[in-house]
Order: sequence, then structure tokens, then C-alpha cells
Amino acid sequence: MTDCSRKSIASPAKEKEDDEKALVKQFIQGDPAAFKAIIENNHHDVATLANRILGWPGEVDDICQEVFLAAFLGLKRFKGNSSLKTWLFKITINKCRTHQHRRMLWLRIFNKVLIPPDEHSHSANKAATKDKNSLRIRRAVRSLPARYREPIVLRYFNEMSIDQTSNLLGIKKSTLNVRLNRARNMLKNELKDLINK
Amino acid sequence: MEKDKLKNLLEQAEQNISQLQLSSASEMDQIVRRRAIHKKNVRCILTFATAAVLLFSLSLWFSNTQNRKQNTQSHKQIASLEDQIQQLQTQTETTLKLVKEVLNQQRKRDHLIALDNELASINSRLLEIKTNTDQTAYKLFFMAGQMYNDLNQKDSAIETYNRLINLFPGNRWTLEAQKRLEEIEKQNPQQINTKGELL
Repeated sequence: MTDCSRKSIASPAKEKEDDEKALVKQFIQGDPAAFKAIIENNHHDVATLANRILGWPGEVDDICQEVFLAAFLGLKRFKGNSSLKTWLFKITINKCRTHQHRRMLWLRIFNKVLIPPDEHSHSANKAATKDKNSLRIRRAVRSLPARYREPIVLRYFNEMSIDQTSNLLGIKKSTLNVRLNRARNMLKNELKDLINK
Repeated sequence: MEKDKLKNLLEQAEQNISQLQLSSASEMDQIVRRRAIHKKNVRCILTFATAAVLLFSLSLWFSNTQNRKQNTQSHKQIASLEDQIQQLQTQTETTLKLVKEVLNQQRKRDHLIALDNELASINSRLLEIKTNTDQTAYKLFFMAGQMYNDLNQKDSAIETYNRLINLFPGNRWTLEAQKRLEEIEKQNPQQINTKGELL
């Protein structure tokens, strides 16, 4: 790759980062439109990530609200060491963990059977249930423990680099590689016949 | 190879998934702002409630300590009052003893005064008796003198003198009577014995 092409790739990212910083600055100064713009820029990404981490439930508006509420209350403390999106993703991962923990606690307390979200008759995922293979894959991913599911989602579904993923999850690269390897092995075992096809 | 196959499989996972139904940015913005305000209010209320609870517990604690102090103070006061009462009791007892002693002494003094009065009355009687005795002795002496000198009845005079000596020994008239008897004895020594009887 030549220097020119690198510049052409790097410059939009830098521009985006500058825009984010400007938006944060505007928000701190009290501009109400700034936060709306931040939501507009990141809502879809945050929702997609939450949807993937939680196992494609289809309904992630509550989590999004939690994430943006935390961002709204904590944006003044945002130092700008990472990009705004990374910061929001970190919040999303934490909120998803809290959500799952609460859900598990709720199920334990009331001794209810965990019904996989895909088996709900949710309108958003009705079309998805038609494809059996994709459903199996999603089930396999969903059945992974959170510590293995999160790296898989970030690395393969969100297509993040090892650096970004380890940074987001707050773990070492070596740890991330170990977890990814184990997660892959689990998925291979689960989806053996599909891989052999 | 398997890694790539798995990667391809995972890429297929989200096929045929309809897009997420997300609320619009303005809706989300409004909801977030509303919830932020609500959260702030809840925080404020919680802070106030905590402060109120703290204040209440502090006031309770303070009143308890005050009560304890008051109790200890009242206990001390009661103890000191009890001491004072005991002291007063002992003082009263001693005063009562003193009063009794004084009353006893007073009674004794009154008794003494009464006795003195009685004694005084006895003395006056004695004086009376003494004067009476003196008068009787003088009368006897005068009668014996008259008998001897005027009536020349020596025997009766000697008898009267002797009776005077026997009846009123130590009286001045007795001494005079003895002198007269001695004089009569000198004049007629055979006729009279010591008792004044005629031989």
C-alpha cells in the first residue's frame, strides 16, 4: 500500500475522531443537539453489538437506553484516550454483562426455564428462523460462556483487530488468543457437520 | 483451513436476519434526557433521605447520650441528696439527744429549785421551832427563876431547871439554867443531885 492510499484511508478516520471530539466538546458546553448527533452516529452500532452479545434477542432498545444514559451522565468525564465509539462499546459490553447477570439471577430466584430468545415469537426474528443453518450457528454462539462469546462476537462479527478487542475487553492479547482458541474449538465441536460440508 | 471455514460459517450466522427496529435518535435523546433527570431526582431524593436518616439517627443518638448524662447527673444528685439526708438525720439525732439532755437538766434544775424551796421552807420552820423552843426555854427559865427568887420554892425551881436542861440541851437558856443550878448547889450542896432531884 502506498503512502497516498494510507493517507486517504487514515484521513476520514481522523476526521471522524475530530468530529466526535467536537461533539463531546459541544455537549460539555451545553449544546443539546450534540448528544442527539452522538446517538445518531452510534445508535445502530451499539444496538448491533448488544444484539450480538446478548444472543440476537432482537429487542435491545432497553440496553441502548442504558448505554446512552450512562454516556449522557458520564460524557463530561470522557478523557478522549480512545475513540467515542470504543468508549460506547465498552459501556455496551458492561451493560450487556449486567443485563445477563440480572437475567440469570432472576431465573435462579424464580426457578424459571431459560427460553432461548430465538424461540420467542418475536416479529423481528421471524424471518431469521427460516434459515436453519444460521439459526444453528447463532445458537452455538449463544451457548458459549460470556468470556468466550464476547471475543468471538467482537473479532468475527464486528471484525475488530486483536488490539481493539483486547482493549475493549480489558484483557491481555495472549489471554484473548487463548479464549478465542477455546471458543473456536467449542464451536467446531458444535458445528462439526456444517464445517465438514 | 478449519479456522477459515468457521469464519465463513460465522459470517453466515446473520443472514436472513431482519434489521433491528430501533427508536429514532430524537426519541432516544428524549428518553435518555428524561431518564437522566429522573435519575438525578432519585439521587437527590436518596441523598436527602440519607441525610434525613443520618440526622434523625444522630439526633436520636444525641438525645440518648443526653438522657444518659441526665440520668447519671440525676443519679449523682440523688446520691448527694441521700448523703445530705443521712447527714441531716445524724444531725437531727444529735440535736434531739442534746435537747433531751437539756430537758433532763432543766427538769433536774427545776427539781433542785423545788427542793431548795422545800429546804427553805423547812429552814423557816426550823427557825420558827427554834424561836418557839427558845421562847419555851426562856419561859421555863423565867418560871424557875420566879419560883426560886419570888416564891422560894427551891425544889420546884431545881426541877424546872433540870427539865429545861433535859428538854433543850445546848440552848442558851439551858446554859443559863446550869449556871443557876450550880449557884443553887453552892448554896445547898446536900439537897441536889445532878439530875436535880431532891435527896
